Amino acid sequence: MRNPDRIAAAVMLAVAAVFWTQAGSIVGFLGGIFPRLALWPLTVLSGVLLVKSWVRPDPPTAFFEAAPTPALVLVGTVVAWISLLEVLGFASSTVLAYAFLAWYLGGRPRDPKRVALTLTIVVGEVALVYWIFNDLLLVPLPEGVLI
Amino acid sequence: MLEHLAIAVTGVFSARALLLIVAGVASGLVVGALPGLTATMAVAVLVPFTFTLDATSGLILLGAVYMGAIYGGAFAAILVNAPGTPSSIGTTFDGYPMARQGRGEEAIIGATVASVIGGLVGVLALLFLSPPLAALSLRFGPPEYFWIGVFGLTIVASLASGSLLKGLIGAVLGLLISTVGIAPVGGEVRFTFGQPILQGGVELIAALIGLFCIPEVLMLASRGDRQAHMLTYEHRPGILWETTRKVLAMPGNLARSSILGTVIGILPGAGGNVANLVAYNEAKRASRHPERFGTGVLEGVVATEAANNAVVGGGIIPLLTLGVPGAPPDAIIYGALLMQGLRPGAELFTTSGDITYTFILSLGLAALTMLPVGLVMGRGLHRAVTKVPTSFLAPTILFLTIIGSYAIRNNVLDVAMMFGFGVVGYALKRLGFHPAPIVLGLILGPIAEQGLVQSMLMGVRYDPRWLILFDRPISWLLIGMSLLSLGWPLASAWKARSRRKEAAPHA
Repeated sequence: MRNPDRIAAAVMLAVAAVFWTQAGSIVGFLGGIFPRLALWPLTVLSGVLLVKSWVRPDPPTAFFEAAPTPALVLVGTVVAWISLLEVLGFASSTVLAYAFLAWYLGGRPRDPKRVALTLTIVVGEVALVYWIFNDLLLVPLPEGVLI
Repeated sequence: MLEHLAIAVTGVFSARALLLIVAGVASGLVVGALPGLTATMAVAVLVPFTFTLDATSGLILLGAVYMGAIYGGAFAAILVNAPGTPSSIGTTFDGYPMARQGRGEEAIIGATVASVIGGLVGVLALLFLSPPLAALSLRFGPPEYFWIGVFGLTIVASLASGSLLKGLIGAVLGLLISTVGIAPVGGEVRFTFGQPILQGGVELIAALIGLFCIPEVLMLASRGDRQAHMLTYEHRPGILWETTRKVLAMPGNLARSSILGTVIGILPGAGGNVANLVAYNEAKRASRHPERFGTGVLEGVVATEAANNAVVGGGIIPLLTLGVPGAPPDAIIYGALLMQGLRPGAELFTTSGDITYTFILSLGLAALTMLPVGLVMGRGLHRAVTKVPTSFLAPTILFLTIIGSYAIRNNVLDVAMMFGFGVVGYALKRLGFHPAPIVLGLILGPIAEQGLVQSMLMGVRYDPRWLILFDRPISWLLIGMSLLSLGWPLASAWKARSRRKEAAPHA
């Protein structure tokens, strides 16, 4: 990112604009006073940041520390994980996602022994935590067609 | 009182009580150390276990769990930059940098000793100063709560770490996000964008977990094969005594932070989450080297941990004297008190004095028990985290954050919100926004808004109504503290610039 300040200011001004459009629909005085008290400084300070981005910008910085692919794969996996929580159930969706991430972030090993070991550790860990929360502490976890 | 205390001393040193304290502290520590599982949750899930116990034993167990869970939050904060509880947010500022520098053991030992001392100070206040501190808490009304919110926001200057402007923007963004949902007075629906799921507002814990934990996990994943382990560990012989001596050589920091934690803890609704940040800010102001805060200094960890464990004792003062819980875990303990047929108030210290004083002394013992339990478990946990490869650590943190955010309201949407905040938090971090000011805004928003709106309602006889905010002595004290807190970093920066200008001609 060549000018992170300018991007930051643009993002914050966009956020402020979106909230301002909604603020108009707040009819009551008491309900609207605090949001407006917060919106004005956000708008003004974001404007100041925009000016700063021209006058004294922060140095350029990368959006990803290194290769973006692992982070993007992780995001995609977690989105799928959360989507499947109430479809498959907590334990099943967690084993799938956890095992995939451990394999992917571990360098995508092809050795069957390593893959089997990873899977065993994942299944064991998830089973233990599932038992502790669901059966011992009685904290309900998402349920689906499987466990 | 002395008669009750004598009975309490014999009761608390019984084998059963000691076992419950050790078990409570250990289990509280484990739950508090898991990112996303809060002290409130730790106390709540263990309440059913107290049904089979007598009143005294049940309260001893809950108190020990509470004390252990608040302390346990430090481990996640130090080892994975993911505060286990909101009251450990401040511990991440210096605790995690210390761990990244290979000084995680020093951070854990420092956090442990500070937590013990803070916990003891809170309990001493509970034992001897309950009546005057309870009376003080009654003098805080809506205008004072509004100014507490404002004072809390001035801490942004300390938390901004780099850019004060971006820190202020982050804090105001947090304030704005806290208004999503239903207005506290009037019930108006705000900023839901037509989505019914947002009517419940943004859950603080989900946002906290997302903003702190997920960016760390994404950065771990980004570093990929370049970093097989998240942290390094090198045991230094004698580090335990060396660090303990260093902590005890900070009596000013310990005393100030513990007292701040106790006093802020007595304010219902304001205490727990804010005390550690206020203590951090004050420790930074009082330090001879404030510029080092945030880079991995033990003083920062000591301040936050002493304060947040002092809150335990402080928060129980209004609970036992007035029946007003100081913090969410106190509300759970209140429920347990009622279930055992005990009603808060003067009667608790007279008719039920044996039970009450045993409970109070057990909190003190729980604070002391944190030392052996925490040092053994904490250092073991540190070693374990350094040995676990990143490929397992990252999914494990995700796994725990999902459980933590789901367990808040048994709602998958909280999990989705948590992760959404996480991705946004990562992007904001890369743009130079630290998550702490945003979370501070989220915490203080409801406090400040409720204070402001209720003040407007109370200020009917004033013209204009907002004059009520300036009409009370405690309000003026808080205004003064806010101005001092805001002006100090600006004055320090101006002084430093003047010194540099003076030195320049000689260079």
